Amino acid sequence: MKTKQKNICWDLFITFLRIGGFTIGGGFVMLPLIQKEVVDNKKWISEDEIVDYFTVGQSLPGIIAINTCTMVGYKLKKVPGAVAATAGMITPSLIIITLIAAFLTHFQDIPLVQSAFNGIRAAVVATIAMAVVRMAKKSVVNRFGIFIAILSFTVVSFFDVSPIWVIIFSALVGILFTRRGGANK
Amino acid sequence: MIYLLLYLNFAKIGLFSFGGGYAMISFLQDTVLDYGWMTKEGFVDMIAISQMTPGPIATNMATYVGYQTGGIWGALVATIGVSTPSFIIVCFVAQFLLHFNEEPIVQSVFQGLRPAVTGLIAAAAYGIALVSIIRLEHYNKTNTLQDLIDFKGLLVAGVVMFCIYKFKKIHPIVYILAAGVFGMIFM
Repeated sequence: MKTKQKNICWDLFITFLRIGGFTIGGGFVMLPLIQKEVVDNKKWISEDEIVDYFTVGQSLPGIIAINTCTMVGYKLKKVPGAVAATAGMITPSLIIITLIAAFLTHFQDIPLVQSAFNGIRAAVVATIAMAVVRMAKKSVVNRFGIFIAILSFTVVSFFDVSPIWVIIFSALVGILFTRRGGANK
Repeated sequence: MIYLLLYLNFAKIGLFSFGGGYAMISFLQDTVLDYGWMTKEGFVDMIAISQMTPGPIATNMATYVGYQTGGIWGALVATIGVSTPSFIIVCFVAQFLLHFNEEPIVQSVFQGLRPAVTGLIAAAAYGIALVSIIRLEHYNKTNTLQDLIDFKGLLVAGVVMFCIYKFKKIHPIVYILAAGVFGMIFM
């Protein structure tokens, strides 16, 4: 890392300001954005590590997007870093929503806005899907992983199982069925 | 005092928001309607706005309700409130993981969690596809196959996926904005 230590918090704030501002159409869009900004551009966190941050972010209570940015910020600069990243993440929402709530309460009914979002939603599906593919290269590495990934996807998408159960179950299965040290069938 | 109420209620909501912003919607609805902070119609509007604006849906909803209830300070307090449980829990867990990352039990848990979370995120993408590309409700009404798929949406998604695969350097926001413009013109 070539960034000076003092400037990291500011850098974190600005980076997550961008990420928060571009997270449109759902919190999960931040995943490809974080991959681009934090792993590719800033190189603060490696491809392997970011997978674990996403994993922890999803597995803990609370808002997934906030979990993830707090995690990244904390890793770089402990609590001040976590504050900087989280503050950056929520600032665009704060400003834009307040403006809309104050002046444009029918924002969502504007036809042009609705049309734009028809396009945006489709692009969001694509960017998240590709982010999943990229993440899967590191997270789904053997038959056990493939089984767990497909099972999770299926029960949540088609059987309305809560993600909480998936997380508890997969954590237990991880403990029971993987050999100590990480190698497994 | 309204600010304390907002903070505490949103902290509770944030804590129980597991699996994405949509989980918190019914919880939020109960709170908002019980306190009389919004009408049912206003609530529905707020959900739509929260999905169509930058930022995670959960924080958008907190900001919106906070503003309606307590002005700018209400917006700030509610948003900070909803983020607080995440922040505290994650800081503790991150610190814990810093020390215990190498422990075999932690590694084993991750062996299970990593692919599971990947599946969960894929499920989230599928959920969005269901409302943007696959229109099941519409199809059930008309029963014509063309109505099952939003072909323009499918085209957008396909083009974006191809471009991401081919042009690795481009920032995802470019595709999102371009798709927005495309949507304004053609959708």
